Amino acid sequence: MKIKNLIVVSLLSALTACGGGTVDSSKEASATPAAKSQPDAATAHPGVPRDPERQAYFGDLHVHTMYSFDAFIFGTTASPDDAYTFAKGGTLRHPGGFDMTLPQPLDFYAVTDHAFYMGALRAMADPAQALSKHELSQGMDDLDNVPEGRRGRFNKIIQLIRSDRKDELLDPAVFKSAWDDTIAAANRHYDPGTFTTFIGYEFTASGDAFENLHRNVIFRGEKGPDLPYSRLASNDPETLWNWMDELRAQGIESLAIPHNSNGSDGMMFSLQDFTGKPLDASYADLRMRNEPLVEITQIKGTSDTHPALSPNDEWANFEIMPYKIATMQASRPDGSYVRQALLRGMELEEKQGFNPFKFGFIGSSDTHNASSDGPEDDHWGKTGKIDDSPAERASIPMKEPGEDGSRYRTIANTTWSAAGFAGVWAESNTREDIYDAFRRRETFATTGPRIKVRFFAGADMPEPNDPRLISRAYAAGVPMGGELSTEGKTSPEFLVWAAQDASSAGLQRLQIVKGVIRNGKPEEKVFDIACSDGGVVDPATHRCPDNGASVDLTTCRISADKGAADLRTVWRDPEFNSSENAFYYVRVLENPTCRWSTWDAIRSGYEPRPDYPATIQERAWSSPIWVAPADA
Amino acid sequence: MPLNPANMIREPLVGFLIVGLLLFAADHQLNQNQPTIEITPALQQRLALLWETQTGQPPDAGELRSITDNWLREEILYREALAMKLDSDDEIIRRRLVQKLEFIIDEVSPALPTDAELRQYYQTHLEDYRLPERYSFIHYFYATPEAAEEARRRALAGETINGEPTLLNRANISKNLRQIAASFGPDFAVQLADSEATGWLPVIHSQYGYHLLNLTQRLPAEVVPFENVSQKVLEDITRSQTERRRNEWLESVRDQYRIIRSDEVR
Repeated sequence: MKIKNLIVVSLLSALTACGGGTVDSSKEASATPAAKSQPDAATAHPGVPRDPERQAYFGDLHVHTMYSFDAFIFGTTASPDDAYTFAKGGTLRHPGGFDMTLPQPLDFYAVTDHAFYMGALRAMADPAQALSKHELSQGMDDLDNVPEGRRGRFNKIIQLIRSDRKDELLDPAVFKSAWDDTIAAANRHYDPGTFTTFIGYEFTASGDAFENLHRNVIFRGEKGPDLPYSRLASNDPETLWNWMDELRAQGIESLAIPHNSNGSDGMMFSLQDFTGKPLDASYADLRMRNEPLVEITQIKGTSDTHPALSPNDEWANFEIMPYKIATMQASRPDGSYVRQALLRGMELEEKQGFNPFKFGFIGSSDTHNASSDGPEDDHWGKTGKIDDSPAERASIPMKEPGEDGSRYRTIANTTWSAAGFAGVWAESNTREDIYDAFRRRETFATTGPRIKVRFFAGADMPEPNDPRLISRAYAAGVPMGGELSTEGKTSPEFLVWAAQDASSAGLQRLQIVKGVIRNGKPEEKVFDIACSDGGVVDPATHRCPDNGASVDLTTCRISADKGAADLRTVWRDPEFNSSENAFYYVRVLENPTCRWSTWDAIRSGYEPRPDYPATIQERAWSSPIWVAPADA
Repeated sequence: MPLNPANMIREPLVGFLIVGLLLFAADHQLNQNQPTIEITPALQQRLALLWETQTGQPPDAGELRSITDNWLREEILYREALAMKLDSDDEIIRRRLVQKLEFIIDEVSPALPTDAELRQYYQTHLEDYRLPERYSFIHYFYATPEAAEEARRRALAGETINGEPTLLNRANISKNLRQIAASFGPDFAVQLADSEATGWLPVIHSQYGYHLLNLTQRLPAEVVPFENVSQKVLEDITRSQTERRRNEWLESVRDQYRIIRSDEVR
């Protein structure tokens, strides 16, 4: 395969001593954050071996502990220390009284408590603290017995902190001590080469009507700021990014990862900024300098795309969480999903020369129990005592019908998922190597199973069974998260490779999701590119034949002889046009398995809810690769 | 004049005294049956302090009288409720009292355990500090059994082998069987556990394909040395002491009850 004019914008050269190198072509080089005095990943840990072909590491970058105002109300008393011990394979007691252990330890973990009111609610329950004298502190040490219940107290606190009395629950000493403990716990549990922790927190911003603008801020090094920047200072994400720029200039490197765009009512990927002005080049620079990634999947639903936005994607109706966060009001899909944002970004780039939405993907849990969730068959909920049993999370009927006559509890949690994880390809399991993988977007997302996915693009990819497949792929192109520019008339080659999680179901198919700006208009298309069980993609429909995998809904047993442990292929885009801007990302689909709600129902002796999907096709997404005309 | 008791009773003064004493005794007897509520300076100080923490300033005389009146009103209602036994069979009150008592028991925390006590606890709980068998191996992947066998012959002859591309990890250091099963599948883990040698193992198969392993180390199940787990021992001993204190206290009062359980066959 020869494409003479294909120019590879190599990302490898970008990941160097600056330590936070974004993956950008020369015209955007000014957007590269250059935090001073960042340790170089290659030399930071002489005793830790580094694999130049990079290995897959799995982690969770979104974990709440007792310091989060909501987690505490839900009954969580686990500390950041407990959270890290759990991630390393330890056992943690759920607020509901049962023990939780991960089937396999994680490689990296970040405790990300809400910055606003960090530690405050815990202090309200402590008679030795001044905050315990507040009127809303009554019964905080015994929330099982407050008359309005945990949910009711949660709503009272939300009302207070959204009112002009929000300062009443602030105590600088409490805030500082919670944040210092968060940093100390992360540093204490960091074991370079074995287990990586990141100092982190959540910036819990939103619009006036609960439009979700939440971000997690992840720090590269062992030092954090004196205190985290929170929504109490401003809900405008630009002010957060400016703060991060200032920290970077002081040598504290960080990045922000937005999540639950699905609950943003169109605000997360709006074409206007927080104040209503149209986006411009300096906004795009600021955003991309600080937000190279988005969280595409987590317990509160998946934000890949929505059936209304992707009517021709048969897998778009997947774990859709249709509400604004912390409400049961509908969230508009337009502007709330990742695939559309990538398209909007390319459109802006083509028409106005800047792209504020050029990001890679991760998944994470957003657990409020300090514990990433286990697989679908070991679901322990997300919000402590609020959803610690099947009836509470509405997968089985209540003992008695609700006031509105419904059999099931009416609650947003019914649209939630079991889990989410972040995957990275990194040279070693250290803060420097994993963080730098975030920066160059060599990341992927999964809905829980540890599916591994590799993705490269270049003029001339090695054959899938080449004995030096990975080193040759790196040499011949860019990995996920990278950018290519080409003048050639033929399609670049895309190497796609995925392996199943040994303890989950086999893989059903590999897909490429393509987005393109064609004649000035955004278009998208999903291509099946590899099929399991000897299936061949139909060249007309770009679909695999049905592999016949089934699930027994009385036992959740799956057909053991279906699916692939390993799928790989080199794919060429049959609709490639070298004059168009396009992005490509991989979606890996597992065979169907029982969804958590079905496991709940079967174990409790009920029929699975008829209005829920009984099965789920767990999946992984690679970060995109962008392909642009060379002289664009 | 000699002292004659009969004459003395007739003395008016003595008579008054006797009547007075009788009245006093009767009054005392009556008051024992009538409950007392006493507003002490200490109580008023406490009420004033509570007022101050809630409002930010000390109560003036009117406010103090009003909160005292209110306290008195509540105290009377509270006592009447107790007299009517409204507290029994109330789950909230029951749990609250249990919690209060547990707090009181827990507060009698003894001094930190000495090093000798920690070591003794460790010695008597060795099972809690045991690690399972762990394996370290370099892994080479092959799609067919023939290719894997051929590679094994070459490896045993001292030649260098490379393996075929795989997304499974090449170097695996000190992994237990649970972790290995999670990465390579349960069949793989069973075959590894069954192999007794180290070095180049017989070819192992899994859902992914065929695996040639150079097993470099097999660490037996072992108890972690005390020095490496002393912090965990401290946490464990503290937790177990709390548990024990609660149980001991419970046992100390349990004998005062005759417990009849219909759910247990005697």
